[in-house]
Amino acid sequence: MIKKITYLAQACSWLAVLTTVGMILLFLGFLGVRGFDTINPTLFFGNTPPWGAIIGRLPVWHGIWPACVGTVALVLLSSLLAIPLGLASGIYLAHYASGAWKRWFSLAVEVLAGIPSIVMGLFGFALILSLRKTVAPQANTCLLLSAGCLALLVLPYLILMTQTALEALPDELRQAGLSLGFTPWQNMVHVLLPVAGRGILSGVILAVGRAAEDTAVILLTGVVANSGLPSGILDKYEALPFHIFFLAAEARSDAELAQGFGAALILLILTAALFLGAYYLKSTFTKTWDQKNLSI
Amino acid sequence: MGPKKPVDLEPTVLVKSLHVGFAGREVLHNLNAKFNRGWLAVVLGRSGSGKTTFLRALNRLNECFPRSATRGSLKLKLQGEWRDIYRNAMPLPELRRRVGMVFQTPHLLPGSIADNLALPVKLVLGVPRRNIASRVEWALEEAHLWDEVKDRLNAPAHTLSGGQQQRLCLARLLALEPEILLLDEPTASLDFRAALKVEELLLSLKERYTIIAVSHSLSQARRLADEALIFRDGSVVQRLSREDLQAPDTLQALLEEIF
Amino acid sequence: MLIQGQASSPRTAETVLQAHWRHLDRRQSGIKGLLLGATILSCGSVLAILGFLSYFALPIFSEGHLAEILSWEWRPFQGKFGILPMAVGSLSLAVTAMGVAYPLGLGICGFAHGLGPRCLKGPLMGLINFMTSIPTVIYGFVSVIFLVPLVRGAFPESTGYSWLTAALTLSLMILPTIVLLVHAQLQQVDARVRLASAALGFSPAQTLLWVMRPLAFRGLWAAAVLGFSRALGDTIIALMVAGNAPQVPNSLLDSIRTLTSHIALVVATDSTSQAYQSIFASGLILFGVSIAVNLTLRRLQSRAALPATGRHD
Repeated sequence: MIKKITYLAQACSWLAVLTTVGMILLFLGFLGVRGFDTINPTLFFGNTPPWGAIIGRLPVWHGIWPACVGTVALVLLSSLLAIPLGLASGIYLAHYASGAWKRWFSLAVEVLAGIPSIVMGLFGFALILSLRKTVAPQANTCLLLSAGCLALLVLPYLILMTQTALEALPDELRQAGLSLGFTPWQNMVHVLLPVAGRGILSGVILAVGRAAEDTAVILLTGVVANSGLPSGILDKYEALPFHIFFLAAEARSDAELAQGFGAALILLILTAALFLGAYYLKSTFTKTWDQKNLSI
Repeated sequence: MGPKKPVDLEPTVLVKSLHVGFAGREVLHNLNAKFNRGWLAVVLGRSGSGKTTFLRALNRLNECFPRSATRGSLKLKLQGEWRDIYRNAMPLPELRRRVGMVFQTPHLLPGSIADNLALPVKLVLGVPRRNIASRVEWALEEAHLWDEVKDRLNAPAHTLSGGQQQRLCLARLLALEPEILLLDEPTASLDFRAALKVEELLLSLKERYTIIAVSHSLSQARRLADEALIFRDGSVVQRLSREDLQAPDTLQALLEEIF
Repeated sequence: MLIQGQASSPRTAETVLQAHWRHLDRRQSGIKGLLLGATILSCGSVLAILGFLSYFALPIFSEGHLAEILSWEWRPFQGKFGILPMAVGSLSLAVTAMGVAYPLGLGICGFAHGLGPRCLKGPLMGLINFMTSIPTVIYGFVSVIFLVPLVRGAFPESTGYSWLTAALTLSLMILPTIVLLVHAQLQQVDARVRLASAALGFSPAQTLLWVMRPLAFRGLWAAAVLGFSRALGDTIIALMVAGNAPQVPNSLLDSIRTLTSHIALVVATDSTSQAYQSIFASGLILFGVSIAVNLTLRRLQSRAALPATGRHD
């Protein structure tokens, strides 16, 4: 009987693994095969001469270059907003907060992490609605608003990764600095942060990846299909994930569909590269303190 | 081995009815003690008798642990002035610089051998950059480590042997000009030979500092101590002079008390 | 910096020292204040989000639209703004996606912890980890191009944009969440029992099925709850492939609309104020569900955690 159950379980597990691996390979293979040929300068710049497009002199009509620039701008702006706030909050929660306050703050961070991204977008939308009703009747959804909402979306990841990386450090490291007469902040800046740096950096990279791929937030806060390069942070913009979303529904020709595959592959390569970078940093971080090998 | 009893002892640490607890559980009860400069006191006792907590009370490191509570009076004579460190407080960093501590296992800072000394000297004492190298050398000489490491100051500190690491920690303390040294079983993680080197070092330092060492070894206490304090359940139950420690009949009683 | 050397008299030396110490203390509390400010800002954003959603959903109550919003018909041009079909859509999609993903996830975890060959564990978990980095919109895109025609081909009466297509795609997206959570729990349990059960002569497969499985039940629950909430919170896959018809589905081949895609659709097609009220109501429902999920997870975790026992001697 026990043998039979074991065999059955083994068969089921093989089935599950083969199904999943098969689906994923099919999925990636499909994307790779259809997308590979489309990756060339035309994908990015259409008929526009690349150099003129890159320096922003010539508008690009049939390429994904504006979407790429939009995504980069979006990611940079939201990182600028989220990283300082996330690191500071993570440090506070790891080493300064205590007792009931720490529990309440942690609860808030967890709730923030659980909020669906569309609700984050809806929050941005509501913000604009109320601005219009009150102080700024001209207010409209824009790059800055999207970046702000994306920053909120990735903020809890940054906080949790910073807090976890700092709390994972051995106690003796903290005591060493304090017992020598470092102030808590000196100990943080010169001892703990350098050692936890890789772990924190991997969290930052994962957060950047999430900001780059999210579609639901920007859908409600100012992304459009055809705006060209963003001309300012208070303007509409294009972004890669939205471009893919748009082409899936609205592609009118094989050429546009091919562009969709190209854009999807570019976005996948981007997020996969970020993911691998974070994975590498995280594994070396764990090794660093696991083996008591605290050199930086 | 040690010098004869100095003529006039200068008291530097006065502990009166000290209580320390964590999360409501009291670890030290009504503890009284006195320590002197130029005098090496060894604290003995079973594990769990509050030895480490007592040392940490002297540089207020217990406050790094959750829900610690300290009562009583703990006076230190620092720079010629008596201060109750829990009341008429100086800032914690300043207190901890003057009351240096070495842990059971070497607590290294990240980075090279030189970094381990230079960083505290720079941050805590504010020594200008040009003077740091000479102070690093001085401290390593003090800790009898200079000859062993002078050619590889920029090697990662964890490449040193355990005994060298522990002496590096001592050098790091001495560089900060402390007045009181707290040693928490400084040789517990070392082999016999390395332990002897550290003991030698301690004996050479004791003239100039107030040294309080927790030890796990009776024979070590007999080699080092000018005075031994026996801890049980969070208070001092017995004090032994150097002569008492050498006497064979106290030895038997001690063995039963501690082990 | 520290004041060293001889001062003119002990009194002034002491005063100078005291001033220096006060300066140090102020600096430390200044830094602490800044960090606290950042934390309050981060955590306060949760309240801000809740506040804005509630403020915009308020007219539902004050103008007495609650019964209209909580009804079964969405025909904005006829003044019907019911979101219950979308709530049912969200729920059915999340449940079916879990129905596919959860058994697959458990199978994969079992495979990695004793049922499959050891040498395949590394590559398998690597692949699962990699899956977390695939953008949702790409799942949607490939599904539109590949799976939708497939479903249309197999069931000619359907357009292919259906509950079934969305559930299959979504299950792929939530799979890594489930696997990684259960895997983490099994690893913890494994560390505790491996030697003991190996010493009793259990095979790895038997250890997993009869020793570890009962011990890992919290991880199993947590994975179910978190996977479900991720499925419920997804917008893009539902929006791209579920068809978005505001109706209660009769079969897996019917088109459905979720609360999340409802929000996106209404914002995209500029509508009346009552339509807006319906999306803020949807937002509040989603927010409420995410809080409920969070509290459940916390309860599961707090039971898992042992009482902290610090050792001080």
